[in-house]
Amino acid sequence: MILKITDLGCGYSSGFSLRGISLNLNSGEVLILKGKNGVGKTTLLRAIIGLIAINAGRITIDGVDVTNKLDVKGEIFSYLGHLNGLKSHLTVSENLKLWFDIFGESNSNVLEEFGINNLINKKVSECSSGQKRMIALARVFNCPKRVLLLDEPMVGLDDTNKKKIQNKIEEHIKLGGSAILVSHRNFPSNKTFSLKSSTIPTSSSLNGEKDLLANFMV
Amino acid sequence: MIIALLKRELFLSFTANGTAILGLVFFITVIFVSALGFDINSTDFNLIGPSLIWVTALLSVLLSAKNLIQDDFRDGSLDLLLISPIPLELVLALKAFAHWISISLPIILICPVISVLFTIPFDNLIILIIGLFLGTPALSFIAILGASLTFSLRRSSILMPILIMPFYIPTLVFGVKIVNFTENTNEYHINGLLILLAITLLSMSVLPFAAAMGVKSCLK
Repeated sequence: MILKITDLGCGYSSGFSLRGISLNLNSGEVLILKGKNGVGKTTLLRAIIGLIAINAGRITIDGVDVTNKLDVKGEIFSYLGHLNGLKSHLTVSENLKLWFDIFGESNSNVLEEFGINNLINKKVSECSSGQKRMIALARVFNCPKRVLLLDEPMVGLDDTNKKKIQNKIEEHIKLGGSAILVSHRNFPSNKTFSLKSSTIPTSSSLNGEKDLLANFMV
Repeated sequence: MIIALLKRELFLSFTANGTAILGLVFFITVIFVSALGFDINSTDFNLIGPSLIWVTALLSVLLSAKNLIQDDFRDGSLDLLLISPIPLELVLALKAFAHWISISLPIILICPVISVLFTIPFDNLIILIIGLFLGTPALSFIAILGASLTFSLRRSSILMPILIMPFYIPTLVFGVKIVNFTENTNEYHINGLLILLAITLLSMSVLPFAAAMGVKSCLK
């Protein structure tokens, strides 16, 4: 087992919060987070990676408690959120080099595989949204960590690129990695985690009433 | 990896964001325009110079401080920096250090040229340059604290100067006074420079931790 989340609770100071999330993720598994817009899929993903403080429950990786330990999680997770983390006034190669220098660079030919070799000297501001997403995904897949956390990775991609990303994720799984994806797209996976409702706090809900029903379906 | 992050920040300041050029152009423009406004034959003219250089250097730092974290927050880079193997406190310290190199260091280097405008005596110029060298890092480290508390706000450019200006006052007062004080003894200068150094060391050791807490609380 790699990742175990037990009775996790987290939220924003604005009031939105998630409670009672429990799930397991083993090596070689893909977990899809599903649910309506605004239900908290991104929040859950950001809580797992440590970008939002967890105020209840715990996250363990191989039995080691990593709850709120951002520095440890960075060595285990590769993350891609809604935003691509690209500087629009830099070229594609400059952008990638900035991140490769920090996160490490492998000898993989991911740029070629993703078809962004010919964009390398182009400014990011001149790229389409789909191309920007592929560049951001190239950063992730250049040197992927054990668990991929991808928030809507296929947004803006054409069918060919979607297939490339799907293949890349499957390749990662076969090598013993795992992934948690937020996706509205049907993706061949072992597990789906459906967030059914979110807690928008009211005075009653803050008094311990559990509004969030989290079902874990294998 | 730390060097890579420092190189990233410097690269963004000098080439992409244009922050460094903006700071230097602002500094030179304000100094020249202000010099035109003063009476060159006034006996106080050489006293105005160091004060003006300090105030303009401070404003240059302030002008460029807004983007210290906000740009990374808006394009998603901040999330990646947060999960990078480098501790957030060190990330912010490196950002502040890169900000000092790109904004304050060019200003310090251009000071001998600017001093000609104000006919600042050579001894005073040396004190001014050492003072700027020891004092301006504190300005960048204070700026990173302000940036960490306001990067998620739309009107951060209004709030940030109000928030951090009081922290700039000790550096500004000591920086100006050690050059302009009438009783120019070596002991006085050394004590003044040591106070500037103390403020900078205190800022460097405490503020990255405070700024990291600020970033984390803003993301909640």
